[in-house]
Amino acid sequence: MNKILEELKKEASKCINCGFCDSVCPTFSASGYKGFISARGRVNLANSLIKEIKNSSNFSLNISEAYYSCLGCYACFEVCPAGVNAGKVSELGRKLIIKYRKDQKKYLAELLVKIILKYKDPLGLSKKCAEWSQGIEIDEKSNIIFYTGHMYQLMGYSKKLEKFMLDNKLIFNLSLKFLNYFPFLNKFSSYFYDKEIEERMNNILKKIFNLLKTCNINLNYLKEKEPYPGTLLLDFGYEEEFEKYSNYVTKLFHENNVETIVTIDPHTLELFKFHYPKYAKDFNFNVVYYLDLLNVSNIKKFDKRVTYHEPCHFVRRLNYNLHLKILKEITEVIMPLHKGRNTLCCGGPDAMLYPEISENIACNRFNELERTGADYIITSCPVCFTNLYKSNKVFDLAEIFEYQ
Amino acid sequence: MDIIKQLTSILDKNSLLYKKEEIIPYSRDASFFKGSLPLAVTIPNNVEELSRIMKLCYENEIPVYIRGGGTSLTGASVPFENSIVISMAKFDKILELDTISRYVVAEAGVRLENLNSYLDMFGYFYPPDPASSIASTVGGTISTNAGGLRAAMYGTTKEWVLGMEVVFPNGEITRFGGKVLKRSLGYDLTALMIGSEGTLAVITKAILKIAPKPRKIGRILAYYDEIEKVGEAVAKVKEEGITPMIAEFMDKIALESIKKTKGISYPENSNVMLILDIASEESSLDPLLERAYKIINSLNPIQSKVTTDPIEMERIYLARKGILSSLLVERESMNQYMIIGDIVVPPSKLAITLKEIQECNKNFYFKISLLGHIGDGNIHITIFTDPNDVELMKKTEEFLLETGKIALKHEGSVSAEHGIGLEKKKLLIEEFKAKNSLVNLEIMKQIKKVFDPKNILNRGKLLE
Ligand SMILES: Cc1cc2nc3c(=O)[nH]c(=O)nc-3n(C[C@H](O)[C@H](O)[C@H](O)COP(=O)(O)OP(=O)(O)OC[C@H]3O[C@@H](n4cnc5c(N)ncnc54)[C@H](O)[C@@H]3O)c2cc1C
Ligand code: SF4
Ligand code: SF4
Repeated sequence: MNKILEELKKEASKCINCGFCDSVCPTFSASGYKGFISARGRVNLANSLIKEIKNSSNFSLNISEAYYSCLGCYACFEVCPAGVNAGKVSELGRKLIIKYRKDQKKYLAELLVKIILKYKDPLGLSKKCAEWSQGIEIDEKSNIIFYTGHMYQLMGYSKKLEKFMLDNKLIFNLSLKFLNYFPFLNKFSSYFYDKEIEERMNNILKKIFNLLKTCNINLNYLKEKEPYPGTLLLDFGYEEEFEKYSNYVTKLFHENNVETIVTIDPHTLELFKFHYPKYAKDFNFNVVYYLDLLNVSNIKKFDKRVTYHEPCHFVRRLNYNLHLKILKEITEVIMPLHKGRNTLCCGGPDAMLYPEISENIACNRFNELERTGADYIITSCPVCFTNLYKSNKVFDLAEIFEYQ
Repeated sequence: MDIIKQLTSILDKNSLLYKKEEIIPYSRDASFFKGSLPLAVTIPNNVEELSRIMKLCYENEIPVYIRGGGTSLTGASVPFENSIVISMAKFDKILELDTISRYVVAEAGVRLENLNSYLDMFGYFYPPDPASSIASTVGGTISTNAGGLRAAMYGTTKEWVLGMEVVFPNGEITRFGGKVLKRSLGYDLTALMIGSEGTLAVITKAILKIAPKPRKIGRILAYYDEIEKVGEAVAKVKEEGITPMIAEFMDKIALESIKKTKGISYPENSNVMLILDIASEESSLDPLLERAYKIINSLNPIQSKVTTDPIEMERIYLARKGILSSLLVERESMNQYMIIGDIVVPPSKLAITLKEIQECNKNFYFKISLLGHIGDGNIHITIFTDPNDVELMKKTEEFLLETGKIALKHEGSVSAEHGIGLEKKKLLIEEFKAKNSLVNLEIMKQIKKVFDPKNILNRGKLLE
């Protein structure tokens, strides 16, 4: 337990219990103000856990709800006077569960992990994920790869799956145990398929691809061979599985002579930038974000007033805000109350395991964006898009980009 | 367990927590005091549920601990064994704003920063601004009579509360005060609740006075070699009929910590910094600021400057507001904890008090940092100590007692804005003794009995 525990201690023991983090933690209010589903509670639990382990070399506390419900939005870290990141504490807490207290794991998480390992996609849909690319021109010789990470594609499913879970909590929980043994997800998944979102997402993918092509970038795309990057493995705390998986993905890139990976969403970008180099051998690719390759000065003015939902992963984890700069160049931007490093999470990361909390957070953020009175609500992450898609005012940034 | 069963008939399952891992977060506040796990934590949805919980606890004589933001620095919101915690978190709504009569009605769990973001949209603000305003609540700040930076001009919370709704320990709901600025109705029960630290009744909502935001603020920064000069400078500014909105000072350790954490440097040979804010209507600010600046400079600061640039001003304000956070870098180990004293003296006695504190520390050898609100004579002595070291904590307590006595010698008080809680129970008695007013304690105990005859609210705190 030592390494994870040491890290946990290093993070949590700095806490002075001021409670500042609770005031910004989205899961606190969204859970009906349960202290253990909030930033300070998560840190308090960690400190109790450390003490318990020190005395009895194991722990009896059930930490599952506290740590699996954390969004990893890092809003807490922004306001903590002592430099504690309750999001990191939760990540370590989940690793502890998977390593030492499997009885506290989440069935759905376990199921998804199994499917990812087997099918290289959380829903076993690798084939379907490549459908958007029909008719686009790919340069199979190029060593620059267009990498979707399946993120946009999966959104066509997650919305309905989430609704199903909300409506059928009991059945779902029971059936999950059963499904554990029969992961025929292809069939199962089609039930949750949302045609409208799927088409929208496919169009966004095409749009991004074409924006890049217009800049004369020759792109390869691995189509159905493209694996999911494994984000959820790490998110759910399956460190060993992630290590294996990331090595598999890295090998596949090498086999396909990849040199540069063009990512299109913040989750994948972050994973490749910060985590792959730690877990995967020879992950020596040039990882870029698509926006950095566009000819930004050539983007046409947009004649609607917009508000921009800054994804937490971009502003707080990657410290990246080119989106906003471009938006300000091409149109009038009215920012919501929570902006910049204080942006609010869309609730997306909780959609699978805590759909109610996720929905509360999404509604809260959507209302705040609506209150700006802007004509359009723009975001730049497929997870944020799907969670905030509560009116047809919501757009992905790429959708409003046109070259002059 | 029986009580939990009974609570389930009042609350939905999401509003009642009793498993160990669910209630651990409620066992502490921002002080070093470690409470115990309560029997259960309740998060009532409305005043009716709250009233029923209180009634149930009253009938069963179960101690109740009210929790707002849980940011108390004195152990005031820490529960003990076999008790029930009531979290006020769901009382999070702003109910009414009347800018003509200048009041806002807010539920007890509204955090001050949220209240001010709301008022800001209408050009108003609620002046009490404890450095914890991001997390502290309307109910909690009333219960501790919280102060803050702006107290130099606007006073503490007590100046801003017009009325409130409360629930008595027996579950009865009543209202104190009202929406009018003037009242002459016998004993002022609203005032009695301010600073009552959750021992008399539960505040569910409050009617608070608001003020229009000053049109323009100018900020003067001055660095001196001696602390006395700071006291003198502020006194002279006041003599000239200028009331600063904020008048803060901090010592070299504090300045060093801000340099490390916020990158704000200071002249090497200075030992103390003064921050002075002058607020006014736009047209009249400049002459006022100029006069104040002249006075500040007449005392030969090592360096001084004046700014009206909003970005620069915000940077300085946030640095001062976040000073406790900055001071954390001055801890010599992770085990070290900062205990923050809260004495207050008449502003004219500030310089001598500061000197005596430093003298007194020569017997204790603590690493300390001195800072505070010079405008109202409130000194926060930050002591770097270790709550897990019994001997050291005994010494810390002694030091706090001695510094309290210094404040009393200069006709000050042992607690300006943080309250008594568990931390200053001895000091409270010292204060009444020094003022030859021990009878006050008896009166307080009698008042407590009238409100809470079974002593279920915040048992073990304040007067016990
Ligand atoms: C970093 C930091 C900086 C601080 N700076 C300042 C400062 O500048 N000035 C200052 O004055 N204080 C300061 N404080 C102390 C603290 O924030 C205040 O005492 C604040 O008023 C507590 O508010 P709360 O909502 O957190 O109350 P809690 O800590 O939850 O409770 C405080 C007391 O009030 C009672 N209470 C809470 N809500 C109610 C209610 N609705 N009805 C009845 N009783 C209730 C509790 O039982 C308890 O006794 C600071 C604290 C921290 C951690
Ligand atoms: S903000 Fe930081 S120090 Fe304060 S309670 Fe949260 S984790 Fe602890
Ligand atoms: S990362 Fe986000 S959800 Fe997790 S504790 Fe911090 S603020 Fe809360």
